[in-house]
Amino acid sequence: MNSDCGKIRDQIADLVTGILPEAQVHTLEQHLNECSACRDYTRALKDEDTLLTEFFAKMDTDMPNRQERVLQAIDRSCVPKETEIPSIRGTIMKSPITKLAVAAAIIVAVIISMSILDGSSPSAYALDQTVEALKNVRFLHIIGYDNTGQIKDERWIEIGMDGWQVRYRQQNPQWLIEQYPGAPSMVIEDGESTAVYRNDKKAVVIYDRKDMQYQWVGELGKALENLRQEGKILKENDDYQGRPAHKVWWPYMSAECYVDPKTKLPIAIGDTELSYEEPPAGTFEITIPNGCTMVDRRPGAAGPIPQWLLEEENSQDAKRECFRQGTYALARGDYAEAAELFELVTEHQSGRNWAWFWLGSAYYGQGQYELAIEKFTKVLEIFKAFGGGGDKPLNYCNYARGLAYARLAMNEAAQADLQVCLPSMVQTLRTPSAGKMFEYADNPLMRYGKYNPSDAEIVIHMINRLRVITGQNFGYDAYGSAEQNEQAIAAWEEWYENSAQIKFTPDTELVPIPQVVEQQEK
Amino acid sequence: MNARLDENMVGACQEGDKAAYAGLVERHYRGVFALCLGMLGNIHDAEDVAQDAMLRGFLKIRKLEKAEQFEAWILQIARNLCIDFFRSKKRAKTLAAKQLTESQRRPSENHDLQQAIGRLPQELRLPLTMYYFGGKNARTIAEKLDISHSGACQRIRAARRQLHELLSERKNNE
Repeated sequence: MNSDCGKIRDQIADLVTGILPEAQVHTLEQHLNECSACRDYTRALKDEDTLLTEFFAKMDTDMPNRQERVLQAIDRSCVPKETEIPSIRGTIMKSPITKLAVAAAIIVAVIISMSILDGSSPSAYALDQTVEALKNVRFLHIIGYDNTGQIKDERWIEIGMDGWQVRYRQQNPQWLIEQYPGAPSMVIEDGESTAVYRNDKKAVVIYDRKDMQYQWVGELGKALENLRQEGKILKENDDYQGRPAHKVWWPYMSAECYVDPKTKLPIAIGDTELSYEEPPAGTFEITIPNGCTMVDRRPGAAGPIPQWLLEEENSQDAKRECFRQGTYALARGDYAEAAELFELVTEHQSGRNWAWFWLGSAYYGQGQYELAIEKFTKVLEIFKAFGGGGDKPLNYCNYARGLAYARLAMNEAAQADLQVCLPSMVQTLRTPSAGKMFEYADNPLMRYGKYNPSDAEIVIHMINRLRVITGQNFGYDAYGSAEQNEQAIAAWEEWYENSAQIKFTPDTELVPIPQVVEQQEK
Repeated sequence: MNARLDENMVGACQEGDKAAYAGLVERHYRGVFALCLGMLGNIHDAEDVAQDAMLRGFLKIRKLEKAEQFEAWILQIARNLCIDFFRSKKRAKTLAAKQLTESQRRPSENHDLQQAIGRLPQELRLPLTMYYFGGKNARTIAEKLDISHSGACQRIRAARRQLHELLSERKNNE
C-alpha cells in the first residue's frame, strides 16, 4: 500500500459499485496490477457487493407478502363498511377525534349567518358543540342492540391524549357467536397486544397490536367530520327513552342520533347506546381463562400453531386468491369461471361489494340476467347499509342492473335504474373522471393497475354506453375533428336537458376505440 | 405514463373506490419500504412504518390535490413517520427489547450485514439502501433525494467504505 491508496480506495468503491467513470477505470486497473493491498480491498468490496445484492434481492422476494399484509390491513380497515356480519371487525385505523374540532368556529359562523339570512332565531344547539365535546372524551362505552332489542355487542374504548384509540375491549353475546361460527367471544387490546378469545376453540390468540387492531367504527374521524358537515338537527329538546335529548340525523351512520343537551355528547346512534364513564379496573387486561390455551402469533413467537388456526388463515388467503383470479377470469371473458370464483368469495365474505358486483357481471356475461340483477341489488344494499351514502346512487351499479332489467324487458325497472345514472354519464363527456368508476366496474384489472384508460377512451366508452341505453347517435367520431366532437357532446347535453328518454338498443353502432389512443396510452 | 396510472388509481380512490388502492400499494410499497429501511436501518421497524405510511395514505387520499404526485406524497408521509418514529419513546423501548432478543440469536453473515447497515449513519444508509433496491441507479437516487448525481455517488461510495470498515471490525473482533 502506498500513499495514493487512500484516494484509490474511493475509486475502488466506485468501481465495485459501478459508478466509476469509464475514463478512470484504466488507471485504476494499472494500480491494482501493482498493489496487492488494493487488490485485496477490491476483492473484499466485491464480496460485500455480492452480499449486499443478495441481501436486498432476498428482501425483495418477500415484498409480495409484505404488500399483501398492507392490503390485509387496509381490508380490515374497510370491513365495517363492507361486511354485513355484526361481529367483531378487525381494523387498523385509529380515531383522530381531536382533529375534528378544527373548524368548529367556522360552523358557528355559518349557522349564525344562515339564521340571519332566513330570518329565524339562532339555534340553541349546534352540531359543533358535539364535535367539541367529543374532543374531550377519554372513554367510550358502547352497547349495540339488534332490531329485536337484544345486545349484539359491547365495547369499551380508551382514547389517548392525542385522540388515537389506545385500548379496546369488545364482547359478543353467545347467540351471535353461535350464529356466526368463528366470531370471537371477546377481544382485548391492552396497548401492546391484541387478544382474540375463541371460546369455540378454547383458545386465546395473541397478536402484536400492529398486526391486528379492532375498532367500533372503521373511520370514526370521518364519521364525526360528516356529522359536523352534513348532520342535521331534526328536533331540539326531544326525548330518548325518557331522557331529554336533541334528535340529529347523522348521514354517515344512516341513523338518527340523540344528543344529551347538557353534555352535548351522543347518547344513542341508531340501535347503539353510548356512555362515557371510566371502565372498571382490569377491563383492558389480557388474561387467559382456565381451560383455554394461549396461541402466540406475535412476531418471533415460537410456540405451536394449532391446525384450525392455520386452516382459517389459509382459507382467508385462498379467498383472496379466488378474488384475484376471478377478476382476471372476468377480464378475459371467462364468465363461468369468474362466477364460480366470485361465488366462493361471497359465500364466506358476504360484505365484499366488488366480489358481488363482478359476480353479477359474470352472470350478465353468461346471459343469466335474473342472477345478475340479484347480485347487483346486493351491492346496492351493502352500500345503503354500510356505505354511509343512504340512498345516494351507485351509478355504475345502477347502470349494470338497468342493463340486466332491460335484457329481460322489465322496462320500468330498467328506466328507473338508468335514469339514476344518466346525469353522471352525461357529465363524463366533459369531465372524464366522473366516468372512472364505470371503467373500473367494466374492467376489474384496473384494480391491479393493469388497465389504464385515457380520458379519450373513457369518453368514447361512455358515449357507447349512452348509445346503448338511449338509441341516440350524435355523430361522435374518435377520428373526427375536435369541433365535430364538441358538437356531438353539446347535442348529448341538449338531449339530456330536453328529453333524456331511455331506449334500450343493444345492437346500436358503437364508436370504435382508435388504435392510436390505445398505443399512446397503454 | 406512470404518473398517469397513478392519477387514474388515485382518482378512483378519491371517488370512493377503496379497492383501487391495491394498485397503488403494488406500485409504490416497495419504494416506501426502501425509504423506511434506509431511514430506520431495521427491517422490522421499516415494515411497520411502511405499512403505517400506506395506511395513512389510504386514509388521507382525498386530501391529495395533485393525483399525479402520489409517489412524492406517499414518500413524504413515510419520511415524516420515520422522523416521528425516531422521536417516539417507543423507539427506545423496542430497541432495548430487540437488542435482548438479537443477542440471543445465532450470528450469520446476513445478520452481520444487517447490523452493519443499521450502524451506518442515516445520510449514508438511505442512499445505499435505495441504490441496491432501485436497480443500482445513482441518477434515480439523486432525483429522489433531491441531490446532485455526484453527491449521490459520493454518498454511496462513503457508505460502501464505512460498511467495509464495520464488517472488518466485526470480523476482527470474532
